[in-house]
Amino acid sequence: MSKTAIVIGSGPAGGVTAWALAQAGWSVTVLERGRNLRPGFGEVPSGQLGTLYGSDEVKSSRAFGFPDPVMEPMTGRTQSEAAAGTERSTQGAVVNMGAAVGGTSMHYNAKFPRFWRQDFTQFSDLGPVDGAQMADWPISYDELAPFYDEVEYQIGVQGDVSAMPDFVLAQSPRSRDFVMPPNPTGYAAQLLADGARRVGFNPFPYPAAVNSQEFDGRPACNSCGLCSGFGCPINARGDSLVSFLNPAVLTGNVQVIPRALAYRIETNAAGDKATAVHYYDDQRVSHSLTADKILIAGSPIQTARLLLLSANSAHPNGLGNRSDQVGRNLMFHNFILGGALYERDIQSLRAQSTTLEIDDLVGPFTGPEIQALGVPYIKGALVQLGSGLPLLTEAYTYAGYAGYGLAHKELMRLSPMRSRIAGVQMVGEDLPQANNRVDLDPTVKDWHGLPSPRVTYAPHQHEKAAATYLGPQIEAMLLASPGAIGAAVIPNALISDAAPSTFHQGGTARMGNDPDTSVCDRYGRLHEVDNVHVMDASTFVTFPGFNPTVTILANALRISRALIDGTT
Amino acid sequence: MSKGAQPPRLPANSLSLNRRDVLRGGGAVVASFGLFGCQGGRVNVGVTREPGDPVPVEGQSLFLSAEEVQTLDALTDVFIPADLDAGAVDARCAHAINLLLSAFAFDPPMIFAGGPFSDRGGAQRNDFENFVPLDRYEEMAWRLKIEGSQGQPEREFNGPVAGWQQVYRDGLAALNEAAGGYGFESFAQMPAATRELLLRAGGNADIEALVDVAFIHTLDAMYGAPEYGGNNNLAGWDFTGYMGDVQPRGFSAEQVENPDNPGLLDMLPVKRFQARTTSPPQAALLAVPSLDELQKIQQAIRELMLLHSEELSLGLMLDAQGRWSRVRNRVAQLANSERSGGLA
Repeated sequence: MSKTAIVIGSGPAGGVTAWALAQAGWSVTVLERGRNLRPGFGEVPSGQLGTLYGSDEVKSSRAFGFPDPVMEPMTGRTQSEAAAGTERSTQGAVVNMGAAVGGTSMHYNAKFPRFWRQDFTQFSDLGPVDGAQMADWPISYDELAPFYDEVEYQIGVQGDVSAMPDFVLAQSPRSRDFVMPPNPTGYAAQLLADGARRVGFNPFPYPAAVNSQEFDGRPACNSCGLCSGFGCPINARGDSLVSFLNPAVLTGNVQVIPRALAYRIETNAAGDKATAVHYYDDQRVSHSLTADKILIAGSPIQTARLLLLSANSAHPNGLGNRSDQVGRNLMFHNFILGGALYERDIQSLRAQSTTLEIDDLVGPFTGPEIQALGVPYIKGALVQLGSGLPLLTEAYTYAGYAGYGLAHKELMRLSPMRSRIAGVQMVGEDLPQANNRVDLDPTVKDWHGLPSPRVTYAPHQHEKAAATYLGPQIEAMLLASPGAIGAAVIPNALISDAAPSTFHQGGTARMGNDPDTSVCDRYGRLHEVDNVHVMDASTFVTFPGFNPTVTILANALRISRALIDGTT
Repeated sequence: MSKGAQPPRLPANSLSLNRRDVLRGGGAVVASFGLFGCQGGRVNVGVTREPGDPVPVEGQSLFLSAEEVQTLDALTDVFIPADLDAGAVDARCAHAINLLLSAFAFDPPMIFAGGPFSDRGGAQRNDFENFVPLDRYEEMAWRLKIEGSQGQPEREFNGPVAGWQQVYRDGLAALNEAAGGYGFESFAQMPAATRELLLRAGGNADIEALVDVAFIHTLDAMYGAPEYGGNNNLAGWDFTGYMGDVQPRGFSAEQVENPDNPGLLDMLPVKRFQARTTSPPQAALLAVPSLDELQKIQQAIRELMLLHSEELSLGLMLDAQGRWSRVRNRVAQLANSERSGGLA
């Protein structure tokens, strides 16, 4: 029975892994490239932790809790640019996610919908799609279900099963109600929900890992509105750190090393066992660690980068990359954005982010009208109802259009985007494509001198078809909102081929039963390396249109328990 | 340790939700109508330090000279002019930018304000004033931005980088030189309209590089927390009716679920969708304000919607790296593509 592990990355996947292993008596070292921003971490119970975060937009614009875009740049290009020989067309933050102890969950809006049963057998159910590498998952919803339950109760998820439509519960059944009732519904979300109901949709409270009442020694959320992109100043939100990592460290079995950038996993000569993890500290000194199990939880782009950086003579194309799938099948959620415009201030920022959800556009949609769009079927996604924008974000957006001067000031004064628009986002499912991928940039480096990850991306015809077909339905819903004097829908997949920075990523080390077409087995174990597992969303075979964090947590917990009981 | 600027004490009933009206009624609107713009454009002499301004550690000084700050004032005045509402000069944006350029003259450096609370949202203390000590990574990241790579190999992993200090110094000098070409003694001496024409004429690389960073920095200073040195007297939050940071007070369930200014629709006995009915809809009869200007905005609404998601907007801000050109490029890419191939 293995007893030591190195976990690379301290976001949700790494956090729940460290927590589960610690409870079982394992000795765990967590490497995190960011720093700790929660005073008292590892020393006091989570209800007593301080925070350096705050409701401060300047801090966000200065990448607090994020990798610095100059020190750790990412690069990007579209598929057609790549085909034309362009090495990169953008450099900087691109689609970087957070970097801090606790990962991106330190500033997420904590939306926790589950994936649906149908998502795991999409290939069998709906067949192939040209240009996409569709496949079934090697696991099912039912296998994940008990782990969904457990993480939801550990982190504290709010919601209301009695308000959820039957068709949603049929696809994602639950054995018990949520830990807590929902937050108050934002006024703007209510207006949008009325419009949704008028066109036959079924809004319901959005499950969220946010306290609607005191839980775990932490207070209830007070709907301040600066949720997505901000740390919670009052400690009302569950996340990797408060819910998993901090308790794990308090057991005495877990050590977290911040500012530790893992850059290479070394193997034995045969290549079937990892022997060391090398990382740089912030003095740029290299260290190595050894453990029984190496568990990678860097999030899809960084995990793929590490595997590629770990190429050696036994793994010439990257660790575990005999299938040539490492870095490929990179999936985002390609949003359809929408908003209804009102004459008056509808207070859209005064809520726990988007407080309602509709699942009526998840699909699948089939039939001749779909095939006329060039695909055999369309998968849509959930739609988030009721978003707002804070002030500085609004100012930057107008800067892109109006430039400086009185026009900009007038826009700030009238505030159409912040005060008079209630926003929606459909978190559109990306199909996996071989040429949507992460590789190592040939020229651009990070401050350690390591090659930066480069993202190549373009939406598939499926995403464009989904935007074309579902966009008008969203527009109809918006126009039906009481008091709306206008509406607009922006189908991002039809507008831009660039990778969308929606902070949802999956797919770069997909799991499967066939080592020729997948990187990991059903436990995230690299097919070719006995003791290396991928714990994060890199293993996801498809990326259904739901916020992924609770599935990341449940899946990592499932794998952790299999490690503990020796199944893998 | 330096002490941050003291935020003003608002009247007690400023906790009510229509703060702009409260402030106007109380006569507490920012007194200055601007040194520029309405008064015909001549600049009054220089920026002075106000009580409560952050003070550099001993032996250090602010980067920009008084004359450079004066020139920068005149530049920010073009970016956000004063009209009936305060502009960038009233909000002391140039001072805030000078603090950013001088960030490492302070201990801790003035990069990240502290947390979790200011004293505006009900807390007894102001954590924002206590800036976050930087670790080695952050110090290097921000020296790189502010000072540039300065020929140091460890900073030039992707080639040499020009720092903001140099961009401002060269750009402000170029503004004055260009003003000389128009027959003025300095940029600050030019009337507002002429200053704007000079900027829009373009053709000077130093000025364009300056505008590229200074506009974004001016926005940060105008609309961000006052602890960074700008948004003086909450001028930026006042005219936009923005609540600012509201923690730890936050909003009650009633404030979340019900509109502050109920309209006709809210009076009708129609049950709105609510997750839980914690309070009845308000039934007061208040006028719904009418905004003719919105007709003009509607034409642009499709383009404005392009970035209306917290996630994409955050991505926009992060990727900006303090440069307006990056914001424009990202937005233009979306807008131009949308014209050629969006929904019918």
